[in-house]
Amino acid sequence: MPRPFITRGNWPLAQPDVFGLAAPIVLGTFDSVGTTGTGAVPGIRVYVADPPGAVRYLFSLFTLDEISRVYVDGVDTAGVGWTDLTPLIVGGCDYSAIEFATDPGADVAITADVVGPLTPGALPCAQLAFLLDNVVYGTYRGTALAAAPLDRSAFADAELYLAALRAEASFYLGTDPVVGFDLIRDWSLSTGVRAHWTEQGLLALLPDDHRLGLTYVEGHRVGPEESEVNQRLSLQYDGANLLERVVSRFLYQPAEGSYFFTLTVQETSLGEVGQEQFDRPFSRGYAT
Amino acid sequence: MSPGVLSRPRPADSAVMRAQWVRPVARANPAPGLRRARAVRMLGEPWPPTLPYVAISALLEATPYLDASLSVVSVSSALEAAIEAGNVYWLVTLEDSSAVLSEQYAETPYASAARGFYQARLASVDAIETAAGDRRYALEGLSFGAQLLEGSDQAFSRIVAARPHLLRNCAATVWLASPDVDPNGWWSFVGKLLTWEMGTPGAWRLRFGVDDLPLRRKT
Repeated sequence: MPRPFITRGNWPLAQPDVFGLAAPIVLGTFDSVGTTGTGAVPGIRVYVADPPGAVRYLFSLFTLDEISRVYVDGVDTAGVGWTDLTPLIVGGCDYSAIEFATDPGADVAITADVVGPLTPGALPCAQLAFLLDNVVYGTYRGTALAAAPLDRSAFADAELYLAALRAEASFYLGTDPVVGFDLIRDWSLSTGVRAHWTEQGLLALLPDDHRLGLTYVEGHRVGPEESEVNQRLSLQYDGANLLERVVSRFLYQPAEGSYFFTLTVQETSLGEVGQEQFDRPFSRGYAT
Repeated sequence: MSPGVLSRPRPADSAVMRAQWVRPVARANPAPGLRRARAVRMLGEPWPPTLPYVAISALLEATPYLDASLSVVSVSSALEAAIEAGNVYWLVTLEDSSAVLSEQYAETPYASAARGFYQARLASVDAIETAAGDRRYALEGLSFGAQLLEGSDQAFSRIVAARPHLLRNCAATVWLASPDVDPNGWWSFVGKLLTWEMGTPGAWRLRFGVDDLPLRRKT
């Protein structure tokens, strides 16, 4: 299923300002309780009854596991005044949407806390595979649905690695179209796991496994500059790069690490790597 | 040991023997500022080989610091033995999505019970060029070339002249095959045909790459 756009054909009762937006996708948990408390995912006003009556707000393509709370202008409705329509099938696609019996107003912000697919256990690799299968590769070649050429075993291995670090992911693919390469790069930035092509032509994942038991000699990599295939492990660095960045990766406690910590000391005004290095779109809490 | 290279244990004798099959790995030396190192792995040589083929698994043995997850590129042990015996050959198929184009080439004439005859047009398959992600986590590409010799019928030239739209980005499958090895154990690559050009008269340079077109478009 390719990512559909909100069009007049599919949503004839939507207001023109939403036409042309890509349908958003929510993966994982988005919960604003304890942070903003005003809802983490915006609703898109896709149905306005004429004459005035029910109004529908779209939160995500695909079926969300749960729409936990809905907020009207940042105020929790406590489940009153709206109905969960999920799954709402439009144009052959499943959507997650709610309906208000009475219009809260065109200028009122409707938001929600939701639990999206692939939440249990927080599955970063499964989320990437889901997006590549269903959004990026989708109906490539114009015929039957084509699964992405993924090395599923490498994805499973990377998932185990991230699970061992208790890494979790939530992702909101917004209404702006994205390029597949950027999607993978954002995911890699968020997880610290690199993507590469295998020599069978499959897309695979390559964790930078730093856990105890691995040494440089046995297979560990010292860093991005040395992680290319078949390179000799050299500690000689380009002098121009020498002082740009120092990265230390560690577990908070080796036996109880709840996450993969990275301490980076970097001169961002030098070189090609700038502030975007620190943005991690897939991390939980990024889009709250 | 050259300065700056981390020492590692002396490989076992078997690894030394196998390492003789490994050609020196060419390493690009990127200009300062480019910061994109690229490794080149030699996979094959013109047939008949002037140099031994490279057994990828032997390469992994000889370079124990490679990440274990890269072992998926290993060839089967049976195919490795066939490589060392020199009893392997390349097969290539080109097919477009509508199945109008269906070309099959091999280094030596080959008849498949399932797919029919492979014309003996393939002269060589080049090194695979690939890399893991760079420091900005960008996904690197993977591609390699092959040389295709024309026959008297100018078959490939006629396809290029009449139906180039079928060739561009058509599905390409490349096998490193051996009559001594079950086809399930052959090394295979599934991707697409990127480019083609006539390098010398009667010889086409084909370039294969991974199926990354969907990654280039907006969605």
